Amino acid sequence: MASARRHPLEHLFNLAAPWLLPIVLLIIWELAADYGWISARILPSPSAVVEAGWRTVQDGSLFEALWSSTRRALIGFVIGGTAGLALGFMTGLSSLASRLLDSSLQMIRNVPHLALIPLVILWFGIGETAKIFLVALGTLFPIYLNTYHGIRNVDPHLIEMAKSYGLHGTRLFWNVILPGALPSILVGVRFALGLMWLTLIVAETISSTDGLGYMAMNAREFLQTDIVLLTIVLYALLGKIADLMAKGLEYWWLRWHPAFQRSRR
Amino acid sequence: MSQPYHASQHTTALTLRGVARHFDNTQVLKQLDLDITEGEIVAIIGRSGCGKSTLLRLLAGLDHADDGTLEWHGAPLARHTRDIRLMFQEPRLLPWKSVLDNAALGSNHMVAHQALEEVGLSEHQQRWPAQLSGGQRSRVALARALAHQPQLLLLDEPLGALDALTRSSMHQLIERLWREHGFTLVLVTHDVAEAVTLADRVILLDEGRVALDLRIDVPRPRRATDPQVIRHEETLLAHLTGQHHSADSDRSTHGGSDDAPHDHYLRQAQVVQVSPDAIAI
Repeated sequence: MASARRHPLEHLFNLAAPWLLPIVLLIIWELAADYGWISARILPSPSAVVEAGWRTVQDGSLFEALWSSTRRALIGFVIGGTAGLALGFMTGLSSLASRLLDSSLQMIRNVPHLALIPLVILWFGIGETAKIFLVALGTLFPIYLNTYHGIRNVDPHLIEMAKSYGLHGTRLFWNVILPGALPSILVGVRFALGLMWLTLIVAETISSTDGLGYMAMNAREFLQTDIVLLTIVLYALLGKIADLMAKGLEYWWLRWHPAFQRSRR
Repeated sequence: MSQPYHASQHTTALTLRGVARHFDNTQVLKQLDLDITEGEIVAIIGRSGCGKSTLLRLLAGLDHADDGTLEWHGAPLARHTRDIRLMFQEPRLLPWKSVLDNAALGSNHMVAHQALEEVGLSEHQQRWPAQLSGGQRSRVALARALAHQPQLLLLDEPLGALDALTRSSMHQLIERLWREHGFTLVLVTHDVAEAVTLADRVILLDEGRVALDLRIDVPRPRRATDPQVIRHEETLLAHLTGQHHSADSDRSTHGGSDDAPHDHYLRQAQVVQVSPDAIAI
């Protein structure tokens, strides 16, 4: 409402503001590379990166790599997320399960999952299973932790009210407990999506025959700095897309939330 | 509409005998006996910690008595949880459900829609609770209770957080719905004026026992300025503050209730009314 009354130029500036700094940096970078201030082996120009990207699009290797990585990421995320959600529901809903499981899970959570890479390679070799296992492990804990706390923090007054209005068992869960825990669960999903890409990058860099990590490591061997940069940019883009998707879920599922109504106005 | 003054039927709906409840070492309710007539509005008042909220929670089935019996039309109260609905101190609306879905909790959209119409909120049924005012939220909570067509409606100081004007319109709404639906209404409050305005009977609880059972035979709709209403308020306030002996003697000395000393007492009483919880006997 308020933006309509403002000067159109001011509105334009507000829209463009987040992009100003990256654009200026890109221009400086391009000029520095073109005039030979920086060696192309250390940092190729942005236009060279774009060209490299176009080449990989044309020979199909980019989409092949993207597809392998995305598939791994999603399979790992679904497995880890489902396990985290299930464990979170169990410990959140049953005090027995909480007593049995929570302290053990908290202990495992504190081990950086990437520290398990040597062990995972011994167990699963360097194949697909190892990478998916690592991604699943990386996404499990943020979702577990936030699901557990989300359920534990559902207003007990609302649960008491719903029970006295005849809601029990699954109806109580779907109408009161799950929606009450959802804001917290979605925070866990956003954390997990970040960890998903991070884990995958590390896993693919160590050992792979396809995927974005392989593409980067392969390019390193042939001193193709432009391709290495391209993969870094792609990781940034994929991370952003994952975050936007999580935000979209929040926007839709939490549209009742006062905080989201404010941002809509 | 069907039964404007149900109290005249004299059917005992709710019977409490020897009801006791304690928490840790505090005896909150002690051998409480109480009969409530069908269709009656009963207000339960008392200072903080007198056991009035505990009593209401027992009636709502949210808590269980340590001793004694609670019966609804001769059968244990616990078997009639479907007939009894409690409106909590806070509206306790589910923020992730629309007004209509909140009102339909445990019932269905059809009766909820009708109930929202009765409380005057049918235009807002697609909104979120966060978009409503405090008074509107209370009315959604009331509609949610009404949608279950309770025979016994329990109100636990539901209007405490509302401003005076909203409260007064809520009083009128509750009274109208009571006339139309014919349920029995038990209201816990710390507001003497609210009790006298709404109730057929005011029960004053003190240390877990019935200290006073006062019938309010004032025709409805009642006005706060009605001398009868004021006299009842006085009596209750005098009991609440533990001054009822002196108040009685005061009245007998001066006769009638319309003379100057009475006004003096009323002023005194109204000062007390501001925060009855702060007074210790």
